[in-house]
Amino acid sequence: MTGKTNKIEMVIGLAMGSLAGHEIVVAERLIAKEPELAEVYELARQLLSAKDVRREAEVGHALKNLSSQLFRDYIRNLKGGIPTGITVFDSRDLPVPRGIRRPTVDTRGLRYKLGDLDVELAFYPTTVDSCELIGQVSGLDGPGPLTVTLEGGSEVHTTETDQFHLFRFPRIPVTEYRLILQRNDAVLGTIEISL
Amino acid sequence: MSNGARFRVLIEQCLLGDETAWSEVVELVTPVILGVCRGRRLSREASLDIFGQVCFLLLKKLPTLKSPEKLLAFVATTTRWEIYAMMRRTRLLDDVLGSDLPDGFVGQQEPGPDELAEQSETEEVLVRALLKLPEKEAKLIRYLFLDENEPTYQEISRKLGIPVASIGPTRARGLAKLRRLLKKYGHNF
Repeated sequence: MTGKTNKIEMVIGLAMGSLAGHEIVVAERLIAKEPELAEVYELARQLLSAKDVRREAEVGHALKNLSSQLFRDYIRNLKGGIPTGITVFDSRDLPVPRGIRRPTVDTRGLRYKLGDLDVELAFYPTTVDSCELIGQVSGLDGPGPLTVTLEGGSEVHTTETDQFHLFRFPRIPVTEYRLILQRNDAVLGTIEISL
Repeated sequence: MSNGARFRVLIEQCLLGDETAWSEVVELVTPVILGVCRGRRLSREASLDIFGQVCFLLLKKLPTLKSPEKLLAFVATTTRWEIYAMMRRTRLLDDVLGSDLPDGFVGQQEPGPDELAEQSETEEVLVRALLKLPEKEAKLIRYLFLDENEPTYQEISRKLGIPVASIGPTRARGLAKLRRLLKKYGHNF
């Protein structure tokens, strides 16, 4: 390792907070003496600050999961046919803020793009193995309710949207579902949901 | 392969359904999106919401993005527009519900457009400069400074296929190039 590399190592160590005692003094002297090293120090600090943005937000895990799911959904839609829901929000992976104890049961919010429509779903646990689903469809043109069908396991539940395009399934078992949106017997799209 | 050619390959791979290539694109744009969200003092939930919307719009736009500069410009602008759209929606709700603080916003005072631009500028410029670096040096700098998992020198050596002893000199070269690029973009240290 050359002398120059060593100096850069020291300066980066200072930016990262990995130096101690005399090393800090040496690194600070280097920065004061050599403008080039001062710039390396500032650059390292700025790079680390970019990492802090993500760390502060504490959403790294949620971002990774969401972007992967969104990509898989999007690519599936490129094959054509009836639109399937593209996940653009899922509260499941969001960390609980510091100092707040996770509740015994969590509500879960999901948002999908379905062709030109936006579909928002919220699941509220009612018992350990059942929940209530409330959803809303936006971006619809024209009046008239939609028929919403929920298929899961051997069960099929059907309801209609109200004047605000809201729909509700009061008590459904926790399992995997396919949600189908229809208007006048024409399927507008489907959404795969895993609870 | 030049940076431009490498970028075009990355986009093509994404459009063919390569999830690894998409992860690489997401890795590039995440600091920009979160930087803008932080500038607007969005909550974590609101930031994730904006992130999903921007990623969706980015996927739709991907075939037309021919350079890293266009990618970053698109992401930065779209993030700002999505935040404005969210604010408009929450203000409409406020008018109806009479809330003092819009849902999803944790700050008391919203920064103006100038302040917002300045706050997210650093992230944008850094990412733009990183995209111009040779692949190995760019990856090394990302592993050393931006990777939340903080890989060890041994892990980085394995990932990049270079000896541990070359990490220091490669990093020095990479940082020197990065500094020159940032100066070229008018970035002050």
